[in-house]
Order: sequence, then structure tokens, then C-alpha cells
Amino acid sequence: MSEFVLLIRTADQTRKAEITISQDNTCADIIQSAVTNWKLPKDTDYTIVNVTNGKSLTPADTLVKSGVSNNDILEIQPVLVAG
Amino acid sequence: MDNNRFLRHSLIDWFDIARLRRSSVVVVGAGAIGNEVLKNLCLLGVGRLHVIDFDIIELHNLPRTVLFASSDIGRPKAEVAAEACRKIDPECVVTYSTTDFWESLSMGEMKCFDAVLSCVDNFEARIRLNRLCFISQVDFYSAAIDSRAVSIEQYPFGEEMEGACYQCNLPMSVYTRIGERYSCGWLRKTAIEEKKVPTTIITSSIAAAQASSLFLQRHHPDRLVGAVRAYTDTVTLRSTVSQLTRAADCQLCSTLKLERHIFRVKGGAFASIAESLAPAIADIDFYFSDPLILDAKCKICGEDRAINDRAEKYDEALLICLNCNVRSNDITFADSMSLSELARRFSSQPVPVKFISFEYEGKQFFLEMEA
Repeated sequence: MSEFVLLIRTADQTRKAEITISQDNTCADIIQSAVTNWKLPKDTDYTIVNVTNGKSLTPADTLVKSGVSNNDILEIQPVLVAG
Repeated sequence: MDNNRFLRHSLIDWFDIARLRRSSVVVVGAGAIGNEVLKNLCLLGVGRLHVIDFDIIELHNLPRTVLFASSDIGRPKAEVAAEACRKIDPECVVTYSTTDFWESLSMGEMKCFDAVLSCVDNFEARIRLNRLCFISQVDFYSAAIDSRAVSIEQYPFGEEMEGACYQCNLPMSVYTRIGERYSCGWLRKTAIEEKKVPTTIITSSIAAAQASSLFLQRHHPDRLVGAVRAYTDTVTLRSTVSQLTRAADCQLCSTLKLERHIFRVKGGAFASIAESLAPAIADIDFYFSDPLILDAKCKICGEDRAINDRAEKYDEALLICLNCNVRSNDITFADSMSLSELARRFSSQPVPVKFISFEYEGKQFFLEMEA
């Protein structure tokens, strides 16, 4: 199984980690892992942006299908809703 | 127009005052971001504004709302915001509505506006606005905040129909959270506490400045093209701009055809229209914009109560049989119907939905119900 080495960070950049992950994992898998390991607020929704190529990752697609490449930087952003 | 009013703007080479004066914008939500957006668009010289908000002004709104004063407490936000806009620029045509936009904003009317700015405070409203803008092909801007960050999204539906929509990048957790407010499918739960997100004028004013700028610059040669999101952390001032990717399995845009037609149907005219079209569309499914409750039938006493109304009007109390006084009712919901069933149930009353959609010969038709 092919793997990527990626840098994952939160939008405020207070949390960062280099991870090795299967190309078949999804955006939702990374968010779930980040919420658990970094103890991010569970009553918030999150999305991921690939900072390296400037594109958002669609929630259900695998990393490889979302165009992620080795050594990319992925940023986890809260989905804001208040007006 | 008093030319001196925009004398300084006229010195900016890309600032097209005449075009801005001809432009028109719907602002949905006149809260923290909505106040700032309306102030900005008025000061910039937008010619026509329509403000929608069903809420009233409360004391705790005042630290984030430049258009409201303490003497306005208890008055409708949309009405007071419209009055303030007229004071800022008497030549700007400002209208308002104090009802829910889902009831008052027709897709036909939306096409007369250049853009819709979403300044609402919940996902359901944002999803509904996205839906209306996508169907009617009107540019959509979504501005959202919390106490620290700002997110502005641009969806140029008026010029690009192949790009992402607001729902393309929404995580499943949003739909799960929305689903938790309902039981048995579409009945509202009675004891759900709304999460209150704290915000300040810092995030709301930055959000409004960015959203207004995106609208202002939409003809600028250096503008952001396509569906984009700008996410700004107002503490570190770091910003990330990303192109929003279209999701192949999007709940909205993957189901809509490129060629679509919108018709307004007055009162109970749907039955007669359907009858005249009957031979051509007899086997077609008609989809409702709003799920309906058809009836509530008690499993114990067998009483069958016809409802034929929008599910959103009802909560869990409908599960209780009025005869047996226990939760014994089975509810029948419908989000689509055949023509014969529609004609049978709604021959003498309007179909109680915002619109009905159907596909015919590769095209998509939207029949908007007019009260």
C-alpha cells in the first residue's frame, strides 16, 4: 500500500505534526485523528485545505483522488457558521 | 447622482462608480456581519440593496452592530438596518423583508440581483441560500465568523456553473449535526439547545470588508476567479486562500442539470398545470423542496389524521395520538410524489412547498409556489 508523508497543522498553527498515512485515507480520517489526538473541540466541524497546491479537499474523497502529493502541507480549518 | 459624493473613489483607476450604482445586492442576515456589509455597500455606492432578517434587535446585539442604537431594541433588524442605509446614502434604493428568506425570496426575483451575501448564523440557512443561488444562477458570497477567525467564500454561479457550490466542501459532520435536531426523519426535536458562537466586531468587520471587497472587485483583472475561500486568523493575521473543489457526490450540484427553467405557479394552479401536461409527464417523479407530512396514524386506535403540510412546522408532539395520549402515531413523510398522487392530494389546495422540481427531456424544471 502506497503512503504519503504529510505535514498536518491547525489553522492557528498551534499544532503541527508530520505523519505517514495511506493514500487511500480520506480527509475525514485525518480530521477524526486530529480531533482525537490534539483534543480539538468536538462541537465544531472541520475541513482541510492543501496549502501546497491551494486547493480544498472534498470530504469523502481519498487523499490520492484529492490530488495530494508526498510532503504536502494540509491545514485543518474549522467550518465557521456564525454571522 | 451627486458626483462629489464619490470624488475620492473616482480617483481610483479601477473603481467603476457607474457600474456599482447600477448593481443590486441581497443581504440575508442583518446581524454582526450583515450590519457591516450593509454599511460598506452603502458607502461604496451600490445602487440597490434588499435586506432580509426575521429577527428583532436585542441589547446584546449592540456591541457588534453599527447600524443599531439602544432606542431600536425590540424593532425588526431588517427595518432598522434599511433605515440606517438610507441615511448613509439617500440615493441607494433600500428595501427589506422581516420574514424568513425561504418564504419571501423568490428565485425569479433573485435573478434581478447581481449577488446574494449570506450573513446568516446557521448551516441550514446557508445550505438553503446556496441552493436558491445555484438554481437561479446568482453569484453567492458566504461570510462566517467565530470569536477569532473569518471565512469568506465566493461562488460565481452567475458566470460559472461547473465550479463548486457551498455544499461541496461541507463535512458529513455538519449534516449529522443538523440531523440531530430532528427525530423520525423530519420532525423537530423540542428540547434542542442552540449552540451560541461568541463573536466580536473585529471578526465581523473583517469578514464584511473581505466579502464587500470580493463583490466590489468582481470585474477587476486581478480578482480571485472561481469558487474560493479566504480563511483569516485575526490573532496572527495569517490568511489562507484556497480554490474550492467540486465534489462528485455533492448533495446539491451533482443532482442538478445545467439547463434549468424556473416558473412561478400561483396558488392552487399546480393541479391545472399538471393536468394539462399530464400525458407527457405522467410517469415522472416530482421532488419537493421541503419534505411533507402526509398523515399521522395511531397504531393503537387507528385514527388516521390527514396533515398534507410542511414537516418543518411540526415537532415530536405529532407522535402523540390525541385520543390515546401516548406516542403511538406513525408519521408518513414524502419528499417526492407522482403526478396522480399530487393531483389527488392537492386538487383543492396549493402544494405547501417552496418549489417542486422535475426532469423532462434532459432539462430540469422548477415550479416555484406563489402564495
